[in-house]
Amino acid sequence: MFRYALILMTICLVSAFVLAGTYKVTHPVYLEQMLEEEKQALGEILPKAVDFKERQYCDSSYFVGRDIQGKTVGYIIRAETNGYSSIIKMLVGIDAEGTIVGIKILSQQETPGLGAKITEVRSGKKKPWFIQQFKGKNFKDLNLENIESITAATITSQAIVEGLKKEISKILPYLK
Amino acid sequence: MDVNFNKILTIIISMVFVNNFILSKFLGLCPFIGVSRRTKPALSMGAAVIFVMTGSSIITWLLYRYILVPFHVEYLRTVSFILVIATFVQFVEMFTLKNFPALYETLGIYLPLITTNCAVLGVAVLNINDFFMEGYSVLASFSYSVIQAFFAGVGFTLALFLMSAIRERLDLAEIPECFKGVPIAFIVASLMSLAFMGFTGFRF
Amino acid sequence: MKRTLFQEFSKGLSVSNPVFGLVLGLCPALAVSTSVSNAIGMSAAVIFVLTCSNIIISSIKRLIPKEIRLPCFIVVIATFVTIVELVLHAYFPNLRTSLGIFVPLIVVNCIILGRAEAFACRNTVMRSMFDGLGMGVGFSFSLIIISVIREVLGTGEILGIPVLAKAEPALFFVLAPGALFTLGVLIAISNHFRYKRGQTVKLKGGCH
Repeated sequence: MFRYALILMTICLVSAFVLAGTYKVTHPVYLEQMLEEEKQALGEILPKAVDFKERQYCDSSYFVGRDIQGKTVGYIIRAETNGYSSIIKMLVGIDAEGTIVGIKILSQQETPGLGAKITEVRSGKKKPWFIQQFKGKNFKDLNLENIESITAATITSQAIVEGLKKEISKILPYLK
Repeated sequence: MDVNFNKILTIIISMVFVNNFILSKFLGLCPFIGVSRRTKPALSMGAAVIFVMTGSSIITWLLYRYILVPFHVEYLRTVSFILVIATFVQFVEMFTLKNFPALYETLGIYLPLITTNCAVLGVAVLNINDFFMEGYSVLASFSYSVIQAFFAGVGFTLALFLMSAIRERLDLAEIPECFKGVPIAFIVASLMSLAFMGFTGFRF
Repeated sequence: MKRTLFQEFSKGLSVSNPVFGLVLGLCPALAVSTSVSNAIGMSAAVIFVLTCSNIIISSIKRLIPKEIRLPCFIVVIATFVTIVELVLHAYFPNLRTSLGIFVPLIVVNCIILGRAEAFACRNTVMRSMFDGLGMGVGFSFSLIIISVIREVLGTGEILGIPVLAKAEPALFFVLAPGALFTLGVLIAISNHFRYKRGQTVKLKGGCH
C-alpha cells in the first residue's frame, strides 16, 4: 500500500519538476509577447503617440498617449458592453472632448455571420468597416440612427453604440 | 464584486440552456452517445455527473485558491485537477459500493467513466477562467463556481434525458442501415442543438 | 501474429480509426473543427501528447503496479498536455485562444488514455511509439476531414482562401448543430463501407 503511494508520488514529483522547467523557459516569452501585443494595440489606436502611461481609475485603468514632445495626444480607455451573446471588450482611443479617435475590439463571441461582423474587414480595406465609422464622432452624437448598423444584428450594433456612449461619458471627467 | 443575484440567475440560464455543456460546448459527448438509449440509466448517469461535477469543482476551487495560487504554480492546474477528479470518483465509487449497493448496480460501469468525462474537467477549468479575475471577492468566486458546476451538471442531465427520450422512440422507427445507432443519434443531437441555439439572446 | 511497425502505424488510419471507427475523442472533434487551421493545431497537439505518453508509459511499464496504473498514466499524460499548454501560451497565442478550453481537455481525450491502457502498457517502446503516431495521425485525418467540410460549407474558405465561387456558404456548418450533423453523416458513410466489407459489429461508442 505504502509502496503504491511512493511510486505515485515519485511520478508526480518528476512531472512537477519537468513542468516547472518548461514554465521557466516559456513564461518569460509569454510575458514579453503579451507586452508586445498590448503596445501594438495601443499604437494602432493612437498612431501619433510614442509613449503610453497607464493610470488607475476606480478598479480598472486607462492609458495616456503622449507624443515625442511629451504633449498629450489622446487617451485610451477600456470599454465593455453586453453584446447579444457575449461581453464585447474594446479599447477606445479618445481625445479630451470625447471624440473617438480609434477603436480596437479585443474580444467578442457574437453570432458568426451576424454580430461577429463587427470585426469583418471588407476586401481592399485594412480595418473593420463597422468600427471605422465611429472615428471622428463625438460620443454625444452617437446614435443608432446615424451609423451604419449591421443587418439582422441590431442588438450587437446597439450594444456597441450604447457601450461607447456610456463608457466615454463615465470616464471623461476623470481624465488627466 | 460581491455576490450578485442577477449574476447567479445569468449563470443558471447560461449553464442549463444557452451554453449547454453537451449541445453547445460539446463537453461530455462520450457518455451522451453511449448512455442515452434509455431514460432510466440516463437519469442515473445525470445524477451521478451532477454530484461529481459539484464535488470536484469545490475541491479543485479550494486547491487552486489555497495551494496553486499562493505558491505560484498555476501551471500545475491540469495535472492536479485531473488527479483530484480521478481520486474523487474513486472515493464516490467505493462509498456507493459499500453503502448503496443497489445504486451501484444501476450505475454499473458508468461511474468510473465519469473521470474521463470532458464535462467534469471542463467545468473545473471553466470556473478558474471565469471567476478568478480581479474584482471577485472570495465568497463570490466560490459561490459562482459551485453554482456554475451544479447547473452545468443539470444542463448535461437535461440534454441527456431529452436525448434518451427521443432515442427510445427512434428504436421503433425505420432507419437506413448505415444510419442506425450512432449516426442518427448525432443527427438528432444536431437538431436539438439547433433548437437550443434559440436560447442565445436570452437576457434579463 | 505480430504486426510490423508500419502496420502498427497504419491501423490507426483505417480499421481502428479513433473517430469514425471507435467513436472516441469526440469532444474536440466537434468543437475544434470550425476551421482547418484549428484542426491542424489540435492534431499536432494530440499527436505529440499521444506519442510521447505512449513512449514514456511503455518505458516505465514495469515500474507501475497494476492497481495504480490509471492514476500514473493520467499524471504522465497530464504532464505532456501541460507542456503543450505552456508552449502554445508562449509561442502560438492565437491558436491557444481558438482552441481555448480544449487544450487542457486533451488529458481526458479517451484516445490517449485508451491507448495507454490497451497498448502502451503491454508492448515495447518502439511499437507503442508507432501505435501512438498511427492513432494520432488517424485522429488528425478525421478531424481535418470534418473541418474541411465545415469550413468550406460554412464559410466558403479553407485556411482563409476562398474556394466557393458563387455559392453562399451555409453558416449552419460552423455552428454547433452543423458539427453534430457533419459527424453523424460521416459516421454513417463510414458505416456503409464497413458493412460492405462485411464487418457487422455495430458501434456502441464511448470509452471502455
